[in-house]
Order: sequence, then structure tokens, then C-alpha cells
Amino acid sequence: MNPNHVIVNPATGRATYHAADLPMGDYGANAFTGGTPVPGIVSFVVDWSPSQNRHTYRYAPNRWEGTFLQTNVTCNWSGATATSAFTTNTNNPSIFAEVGYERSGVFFQ
Amino acid sequence: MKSHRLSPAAQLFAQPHVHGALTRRQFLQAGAALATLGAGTGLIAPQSALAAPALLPAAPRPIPYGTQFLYPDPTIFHVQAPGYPLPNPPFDTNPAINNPATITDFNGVVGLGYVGGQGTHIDLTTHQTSSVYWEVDMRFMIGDYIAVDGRQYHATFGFV
Repeated sequence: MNPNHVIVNPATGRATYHAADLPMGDYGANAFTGGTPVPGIVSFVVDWSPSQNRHTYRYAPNRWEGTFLQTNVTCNWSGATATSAFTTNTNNPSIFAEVGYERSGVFFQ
Repeated sequence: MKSHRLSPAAQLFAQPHVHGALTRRQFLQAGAALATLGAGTGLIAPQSALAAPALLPAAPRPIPYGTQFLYPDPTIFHVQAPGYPLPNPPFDTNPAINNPATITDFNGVVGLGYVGGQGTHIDLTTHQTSSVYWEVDMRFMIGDYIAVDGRQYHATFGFV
């Protein structure tokens, strides 16, 4: 994706991830079982808040490690097809969020 | 306000689970489906931050493990759900052992966020509106990776 769509400071946990009028097909209930998607577009802005809740993980069985800040996140989202549209309300609660550095696979030491 | 079962479009856009209609596991099934969808639409196709357009990098490798979102169906989807409140067992979403990135051979920055709340769905044919509960799983990955061609690249990836 366009790197300008993400702004992040992993040292503080602050980040923004956004897109506007991104083409995305509508598979209905889900895409696991296949089907033909209906053309659509989505727009979103996701904001992660700064945090000092730092965690360091190392999970050798799956060869990844990293240092993450667990934080809070907000998301405003909208999307439409030719026959349907959806927009999120404001002040939606964060369920879980984290931002950090990681190394995996051949970069795992 | 009251919740209604979502139209297919709203299900796509909000990756929702409606209270009493969809379980959290079903929500994650939708989330993973959208990741697959993103690959098809170019959403998570890599673009180099540095390379000229003619030198676009090759695709990354997915993590070689994942989650049985259709449990007990044995199919593994190459995404994990660190920190998401799922029943344990069958799901263990401990952030210490669940990788937020969906690609491997990766060295970089990752962001993950799950958000839920109320939204408004509009049927553009009938102009009827309804209030629905929605959730999203949004992620980004920025950094160096070893691609399927064995070479190292730098790119930004989004997961919707």
C-alpha cells in the first residue's frame, strides 16, 4: 500500500493508518466459502494513542520476537456498494491494540 | 436504537458481529476473509517506499502458522488474533505467543487494533436506516522482508 497511508512512532505507540475510497469487493457474509464479490469502496482512519505499557515477547517455536506498547485505538470507518452504505458512529471503544517492533523468520535471532 | 442483522455490504464493511446473531469467532472469520480479499484487490500488495514503479517488490511469505477460524474445520488461516477476547480453549490469544504480523521473514514495525461500536447502515434502495454493532481488525506492517523470490525488500502493508 501507499506508505503515506501510515504514520507511526513505535517509540511512543502513536500511529495513524488511513485510506479513502479504497476499492474493495463485498463478498457478503465472508470470503471463506468463495462467491463473487460486489464492487465497493471503503474509507477509514485508525488512530493509536501514545502509551508506556511496554511488553517484550520472544516465542521461539514460531520464530518471532518483538517489543510492543499496548495502547488504545479508535477507528472511523465508512463504505458503500451500489445498494448499501455503512458509517461508524464516533467514540467507539478500543478492544485491544499494540504497536511495536518485531523480527521473524530469518531475522529471528 | 436497536440492532439488526446486517446486509452483506455492511457485513463486509464493518466485519461485524451483531449481538445474538454472530459470535466472536464468526467475526474473526470475517476479518480473515477480508485479509484475503485485500490481497485480491491490491490492498495488501506491497509497494516499495524507495523503488521506482518498474521495480515493485515481490510478494511476502505469509506466517507459516495461523488460526482455525472455522474450528473444528482443520483449515489454517495465516493470521493470529493477539489480545482478542476469545474462549480459551480452543483459542489462545495471549499476545506473548500470537504474532500480530501476517507475514514472516519480516523485520519492522507492526500496529494492530481491534475496535467495536455502533454504526448506521443505509439500504440505498429503500433508504431504510438501521443501527448495527460492528467490529474491525486493522493492522499495518512497515519494514524489510524476504519475499517469495528470496530477495529482501522494504514495503508497507495494510490489513483490513
